[in-house]
Amino acid sequence: MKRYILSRVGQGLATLLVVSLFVFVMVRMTGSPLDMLLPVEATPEMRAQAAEELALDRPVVVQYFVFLGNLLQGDLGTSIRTRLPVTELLADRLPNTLQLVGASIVLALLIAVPLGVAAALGRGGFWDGLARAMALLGQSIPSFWVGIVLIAIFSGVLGWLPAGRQGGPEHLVLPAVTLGLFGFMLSGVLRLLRGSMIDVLDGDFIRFARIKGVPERRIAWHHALSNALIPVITFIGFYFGIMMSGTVVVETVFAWPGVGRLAYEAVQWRDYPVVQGVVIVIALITILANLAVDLLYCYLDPRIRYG
Amino acid sequence: MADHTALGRARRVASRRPGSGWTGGLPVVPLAIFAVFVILALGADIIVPHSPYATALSDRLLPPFWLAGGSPDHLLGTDRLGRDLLSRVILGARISMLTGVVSVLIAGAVGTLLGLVAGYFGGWLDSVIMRTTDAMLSFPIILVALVFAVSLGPGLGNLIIVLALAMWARFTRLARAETLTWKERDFVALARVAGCSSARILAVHIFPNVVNALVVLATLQIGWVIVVEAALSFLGVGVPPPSPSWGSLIAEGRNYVGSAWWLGVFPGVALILLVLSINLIGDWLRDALDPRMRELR
Repeated sequence: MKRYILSRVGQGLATLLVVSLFVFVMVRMTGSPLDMLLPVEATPEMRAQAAEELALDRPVVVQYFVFLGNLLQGDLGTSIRTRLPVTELLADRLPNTLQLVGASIVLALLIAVPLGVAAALGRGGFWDGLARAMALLGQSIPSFWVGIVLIAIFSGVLGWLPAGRQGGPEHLVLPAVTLGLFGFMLSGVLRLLRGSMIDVLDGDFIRFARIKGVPERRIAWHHALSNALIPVITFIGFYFGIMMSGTVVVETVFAWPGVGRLAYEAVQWRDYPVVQGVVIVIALITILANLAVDLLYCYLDPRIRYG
Repeated sequence: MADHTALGRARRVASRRPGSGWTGGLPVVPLAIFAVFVILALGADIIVPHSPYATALSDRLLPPFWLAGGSPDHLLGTDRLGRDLLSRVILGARISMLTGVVSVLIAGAVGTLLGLVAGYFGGWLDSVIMRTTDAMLSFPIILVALVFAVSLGPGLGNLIIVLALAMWARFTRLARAETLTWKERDFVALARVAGCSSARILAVHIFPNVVNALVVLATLQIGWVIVVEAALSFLGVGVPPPSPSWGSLIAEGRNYVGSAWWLGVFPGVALILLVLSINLIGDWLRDALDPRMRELR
């Protein structure tokens, strides 16, 4: 068990190293931040001086190792545009994104779990049809379009809900509906849960419970569901990271001040340290979420043993 | 080598029971819708009622023909420069289909080749290829595409490269897994004894058995990639204006939700119809072609 955790942490660190190198190189291919910061008529001397101040005049390899060294000390550098530490910017924005993603996942589960179970129990019936329709629509309708339509209807025509920005819980409704129900979250959970419920309901222990005389309702919602949820939890852990970066579109539509929006603006401004910081932190969260799910497995399914 | 990570397990569950027979017979309606979009994409130049780029300031922001003030000359209305929306949506079909199909073909070809090689030869080559795909798959895709798109600059060709880069690893994983199961079969061993080269075994004996699963993945990827293309164009880093990508049309329409709702709604509806029909066809293909699904029924 200990060896397994250590090897997984090692793998995670290796992936993170690849991510850091990759993003460092990619972001430098986007162009120089000097073009955005300096006026067009800037003299070569002004450019050289600005480059020196930002340490952009040093060889790229040196820049990378300085970056890596600082990273190990938890220092993600300073934003070229705002002159604020990247960690500060992230600390400011990350809670907003986590709030949005968290609310979306809860919303998706509230719909997908009962619907997925009902679909598996009554294959070919009404609930199965509804589950299929929701899964298909969820994965076919782009979230940014839904977001705009929802804003137009609920905050434009009806005036019931605010169109975004941060504030009370009512500000969270439209963005969370958009992110939770459209995109692959709801559709993935529905498909997986329905499939694994059908698998589990075939199992010997379910037949045994029936012979024992356990009521059908209890078999489905207690015995079968607790087993069928295991792959669903995996999916959520895996998809969490994707949602963290997928928020860039929804955050743009709803003017939501999260990390996706931060990364988008930073790419536009060639603000290298911020882009690097966001990608690395999101990759770290993805890796941690996957690791947490793996460890959670040992408790959920005692049959799994990591050697 | 069994994949014991949570992700590996989820993939196994997902591949074992993708839809569990959610689909029935031939999807006639989705195929018909898809055919219409293919015709629109191929014949856009002939079909469009107006030039998609012709501006007419006197006809600015006309509503669709059935609304007051609409004109039968512009069935879906016009945008802020008086350009015909229907013509722009039709040309948008070409952009979406082109980016979707070409990027999936590139990613599929490269990814499949790498997967076949990794699965067949194994060893260090396999390790290198698979670690790279793992890293690729743990990147936040939209962010990577965003960074790629900005670094390569705007343009249809660059966008296709960005999308292919984001996708190849999925084909590699699938092709490798399938190759691993087929290369142990007797007929492959016999071919080797008969003196076939590795390249010939891969091309003639293994690839034909792997292709079904790849076709299913490719179909579903086309639906996915069309949505991603629209999202990138919506963010302003995809197909540059004045090309009417559905994503950029929606972004434009966003500024007119209150006054000229049709500008954002119709490109969105076209996008949804196309992606929905592709996903329905993909689901059906999966049930019809994937041998594992056949065994389950």
